[in-house]
Amino acid sequence: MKLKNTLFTQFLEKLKMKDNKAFTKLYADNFHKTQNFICSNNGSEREAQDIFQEGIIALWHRLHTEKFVPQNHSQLEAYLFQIVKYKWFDILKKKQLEKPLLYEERSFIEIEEFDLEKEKRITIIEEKLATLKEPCKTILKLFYYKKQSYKTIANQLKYNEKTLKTMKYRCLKNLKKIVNVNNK
Amino acid sequence: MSTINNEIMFDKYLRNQLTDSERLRFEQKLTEDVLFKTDFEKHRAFTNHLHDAFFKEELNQIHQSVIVKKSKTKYRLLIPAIAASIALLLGVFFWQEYTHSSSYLYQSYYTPDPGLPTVMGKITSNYEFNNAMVDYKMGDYKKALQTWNTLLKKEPQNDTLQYFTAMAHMNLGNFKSAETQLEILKNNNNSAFYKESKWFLALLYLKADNKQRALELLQSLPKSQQTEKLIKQLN
Repeated sequence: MKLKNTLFTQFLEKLKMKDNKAFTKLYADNFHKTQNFICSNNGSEREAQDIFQEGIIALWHRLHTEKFVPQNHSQLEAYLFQIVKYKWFDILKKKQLEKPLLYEERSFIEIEEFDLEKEKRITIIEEKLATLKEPCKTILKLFYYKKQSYKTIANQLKYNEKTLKTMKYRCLKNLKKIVNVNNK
Repeated sequence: MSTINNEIMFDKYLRNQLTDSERLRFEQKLTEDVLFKTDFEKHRAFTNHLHDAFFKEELNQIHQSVIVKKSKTKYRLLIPAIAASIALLLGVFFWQEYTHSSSYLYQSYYTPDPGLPTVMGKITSNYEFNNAMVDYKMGDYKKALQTWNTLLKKEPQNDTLQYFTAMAHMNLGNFKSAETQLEILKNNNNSAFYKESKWFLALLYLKADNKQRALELLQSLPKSQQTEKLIKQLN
């Protein structure tokens, strides 16, 4: 029992650190359940993929800020599935296909309303990332996703720190520009 | 649009890297300078969204690698290819001299079945099966077995289920359970897993030091490099 707990704690720490293997396991273990749920509730496979991924990101934020501290795997997985369900209900509501019966489960855990506008913006940025040239993409990823310091990134990419700061500034400015063109 | 110095300051503030006095000054400025505050809020929102966009990109890559997009018909075609590649790999080993003990032979010939590509097609009743196949491929044979055993109760005649429960048992070292399943399959010559079942069953006989039964089974298989070699070593 103790060993099991230690293993789970390690897994949790890896998730918090955005460890790729941990997320691969979480993904493989849980995706089909979501897919099944969304596809049998007026959704498409593409929507299932999007909602599931948004659910994982929302889960990560709650783990990272310790708003949610699960004790074991089943709590973690149940929570993820709840997030996915609520997200999907919000979307169905927008589509005016809401099924009131399903809403009864809402009281299970408290999760704030999802900001669909925010999700749209994230999707637009994600699309634009694909068009972003190197080294801009790597610089922005290391800085804003991996949360590395200027010093670490400068060492890794072999720039001096000052140059890197300017480059990062220009890269971000450029990305904001292409994202905003689409968004207005 | 914020200046480079402001932006560096924003990032530092968001990462909690300002000293106490810098922080106080920063927060003071937020209350006094509306433009500064607007710039900061925009930067915070955009970089938060950017973080999540990168996250989503990572998850999409995971999706591609875990939920393999292959049609169901394709995997049937893949089985001979997998078998052939196993045979090729084993062939490399063969020209070395071997001891002839049964368990040594078992160890040398046994390569676990790599499993089937998981299908990301329309939602079918196969979803649970595929989900368990992902467990199997990731080495979680116990979890795969739990699902497949439940499915097997509903469809006791399903040869795919029979075969992969046997494979999971074999990988876990439950040789008796694996043998029971394979005994059923070796009589079903309509099954896509007919040959593979006989081959693995022969290896199990070998493991139990029953060379005679292993030999009989191997001789009933179509000739191939690996069966011929093993038969030779047994004689």
